[in-house]
Amino acid sequence: MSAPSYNPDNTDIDRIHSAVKREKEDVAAGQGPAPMWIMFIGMIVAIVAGGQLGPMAGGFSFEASNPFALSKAIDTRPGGGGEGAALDPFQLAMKKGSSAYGVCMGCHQAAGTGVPGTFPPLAGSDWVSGGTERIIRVILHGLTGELKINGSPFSNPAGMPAQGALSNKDIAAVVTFIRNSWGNEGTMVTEEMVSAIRKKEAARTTQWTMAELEPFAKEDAPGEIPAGPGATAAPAAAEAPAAAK
Amino acid sequence: MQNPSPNVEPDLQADTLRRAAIDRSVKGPVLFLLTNGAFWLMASTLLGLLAAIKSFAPDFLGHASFLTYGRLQPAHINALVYGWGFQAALGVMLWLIARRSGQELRTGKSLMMVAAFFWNITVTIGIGCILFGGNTSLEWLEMPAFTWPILLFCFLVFAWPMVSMFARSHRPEGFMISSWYIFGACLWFPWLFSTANICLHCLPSLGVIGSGINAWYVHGVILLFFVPVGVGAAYYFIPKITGQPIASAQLAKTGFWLLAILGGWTGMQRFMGGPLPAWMVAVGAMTGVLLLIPVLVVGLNHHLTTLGKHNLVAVSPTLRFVFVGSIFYPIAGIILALISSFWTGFTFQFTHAWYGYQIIAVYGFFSMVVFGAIYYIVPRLSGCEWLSVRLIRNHFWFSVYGIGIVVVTSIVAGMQQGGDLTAPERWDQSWISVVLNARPYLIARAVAWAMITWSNVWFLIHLMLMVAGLGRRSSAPTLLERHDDHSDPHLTHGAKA
Amino acid sequence: MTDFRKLTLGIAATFGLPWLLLIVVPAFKYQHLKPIAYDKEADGMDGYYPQSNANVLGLQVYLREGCVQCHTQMIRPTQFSADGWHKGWGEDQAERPADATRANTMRDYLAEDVAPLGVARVGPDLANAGYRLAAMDRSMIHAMLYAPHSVAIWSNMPSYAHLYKVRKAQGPKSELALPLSGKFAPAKGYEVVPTPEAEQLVDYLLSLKKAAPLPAAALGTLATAAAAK
Repeated sequence: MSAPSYNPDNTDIDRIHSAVKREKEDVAAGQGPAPMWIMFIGMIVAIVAGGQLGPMAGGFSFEASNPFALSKAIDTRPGGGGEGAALDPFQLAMKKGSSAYGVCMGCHQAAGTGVPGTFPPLAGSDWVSGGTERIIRVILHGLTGELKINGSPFSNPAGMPAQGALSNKDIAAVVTFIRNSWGNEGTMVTEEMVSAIRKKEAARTTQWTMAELEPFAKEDAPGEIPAGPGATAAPAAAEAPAAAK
Repeated sequence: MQNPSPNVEPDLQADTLRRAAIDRSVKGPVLFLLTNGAFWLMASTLLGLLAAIKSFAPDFLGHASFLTYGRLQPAHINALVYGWGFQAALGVMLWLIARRSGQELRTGKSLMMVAAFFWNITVTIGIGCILFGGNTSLEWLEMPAFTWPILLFCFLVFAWPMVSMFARSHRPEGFMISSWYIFGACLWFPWLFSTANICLHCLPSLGVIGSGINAWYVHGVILLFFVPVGVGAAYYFIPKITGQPIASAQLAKTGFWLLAILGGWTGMQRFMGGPLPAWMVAVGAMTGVLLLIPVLVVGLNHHLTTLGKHNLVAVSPTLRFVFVGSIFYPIAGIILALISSFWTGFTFQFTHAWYGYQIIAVYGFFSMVVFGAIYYIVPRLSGCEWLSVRLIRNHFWFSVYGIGIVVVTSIVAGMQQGGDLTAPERWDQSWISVVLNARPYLIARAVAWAMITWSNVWFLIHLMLMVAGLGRRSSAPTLLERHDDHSDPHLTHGAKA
Repeated sequence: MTDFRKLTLGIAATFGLPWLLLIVVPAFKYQHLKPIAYDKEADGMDGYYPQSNANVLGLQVYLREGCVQCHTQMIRPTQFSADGWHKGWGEDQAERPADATRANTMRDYLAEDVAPLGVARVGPDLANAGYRLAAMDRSMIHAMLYAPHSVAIWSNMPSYAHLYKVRKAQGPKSELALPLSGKFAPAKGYEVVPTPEAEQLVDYLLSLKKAAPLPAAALGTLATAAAAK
């Protein structure tokens, strides 16, 4: 069949075998020597690899799993030469609070600026540097309805969700943190203060409204503040100058 | 039969007919394996997408027991490895060994079909058990204990004929490195699989040593099964499509033997600083770094073989996939060295970087090369050409971007997580920062798996159409770019190349 | 020699050696590991190391749920990581422990069928969770498994609600009922109680204590090994 008519079915031997026909021949591999530089690179890799067999090999014993088990542990924790010196409670609260603040950052932003009209700012806000009774309640049970903070209105359909799931210690830390960041200055809040307020408001299941919180606006939660930088900020009764608008 | 043109020698014709006969003889088992594999690929990428979403949104789709991350993630990996990886590998291995040894598969075809059928049933039941309460929590061996003897037997049903074909092979061209790798894979995997399963399921409790054996098994399957099949296939297809011989036989042999020597020692460094005997961890770390040498050697060999023919990467789908796979290979080797060495390994230990390594090895390198192989093999078995260039391009780009994103985000997340875990100043801080820092990477991972799912849907449809014989009826291959006949790489002009 | 024979022998030798040295021999040696007795004078305490205290049934639940995907159980030495100093990860649950938690050794896992060392640290390490959880109310631990979000809103831990039953409250609040509030609480008149699997899992978590001091006898072998290096 030197000139077959076009026959697009399974009996067209030319077409079926065309894929195989057009394949290239197998050829033997090149027999020349390999380049020398690769040996040098290989040697360098081998030296680096051999370094793994140093002290970590534990003398090739079956029993030795941690060759450093007998050495004294190096205390790399900051804040004391490993002798158990505790951080000042205020500094501890600031440190913990800054990491716990990650939860709040989503709405109130990393610099406490909030989003105009929707999420209130924390920087320069009298809700934060004012009465701690109010701010602790806001965090425990959330906030809803129309708000006016620093003279600007804020509203948002769901309001602020309750953060009561955080531990008392974390809430105290984060309140201390926001009260002392971004230009704010305030006394620190302790775990006992938060726990007392939580007990007092244990029956509450709904978010607060601005009006309900008015009585607490200038009240500080009762409780002892450890001596030190946490106790020296101005008390709630004094209006922070930035809030006077 | 057409009249032999004066340029076509009778030898070439006989050779063509022989190759066509070999193709016909393996058609059934190979197409069955590849199609089933493609279905499992689809399933595993969907599971991967779901697991990735659940890792940052655990309430997505509710709280049913089979939708928890702890069950979805092993189901995803087992589906990828045993459902897709092994079936695709066996399909490609069978075709390669048959071609390379120059022999038709004469007997055992029905037995192979039955074995493939049972493989699929067993993996289905196994994944079902993982999702519904039979998870053993042994990495890559999460399927319940009753599955392993069946899988081993099915594997041997395929491996035995392949080993026999290799033993009887007759090639005038001399040694063929691809067959060595395929043969090695046929021996290594049953050895690894039976050892790990007997130690972990049959011997009395091995405690920590058992965890070490588990880690050794995972590295062994990657380095002594998926890598040899991928490298062997690359060694076949690169010379086949470029028409140039493998650059250096010496490099090829060196690469093979180095892999053989080093591959069995590594794995236990996964638990560095931990309760395993220290020397086993140290040796694992050393060989993990030393494995850079065979990776370098093979990479160089492939690079020298493609010299001067890089334009073909744009034209041939097979070469494009194999080429990209060959780029992922050294990256996978570097990642292994990073997670193995003591200097950097502690940062990456127990982080998302481990997942990144598994994916780049099994998907980035192995699967890409196997996709290239499938684009070459299937037209020869189904008698028709791929239907759509656009679908091939789609498959290619979404896969490359998807895998790239998964790997890069996993490694970077690993560095971030490792930094968080090892930083001394975080000693008393709550876990919240570790979780929040990893979140964006997990979201990116989910997006990447969505892209890969998209590419695999079209690949599966395309492959099913081909297997059903509904491809393009043509004598010209489906190429990715227009090419006029004079420079068509797939035409030999009748002369012996 | 033909290619086939050369390859088969080569592969058998090159793979057989690590197979023997890394798998077979250590597996044998492990079978002969025994607990080491404490010496009253040298260690100041009686008994054996380790105390076999891992709850076996609970371990099965732990493995079945895939907890290893996110939680590890392995304290690394302080030379390479901050595990030992991490607050709450050891026996000493004080605000600022004076000593680091020791790195885990092989015998720490002797009581467990499978040593669930873990895949990744998406969540905290649990090697010594028993000490940490002992301070919590048992029903709080259940609440954490049932609804992790109620304890930590930023957590990505899945809810293991399938290990719990929601049943109609019969009379006064059962002492098994979980303390849940807000959106996590069941409908009015219902309570959430743990199934036996959940109880086993919590027993297992409470039994996770791998910080028992190393007896002097064990340190002897380590010292020899360290000196030999």
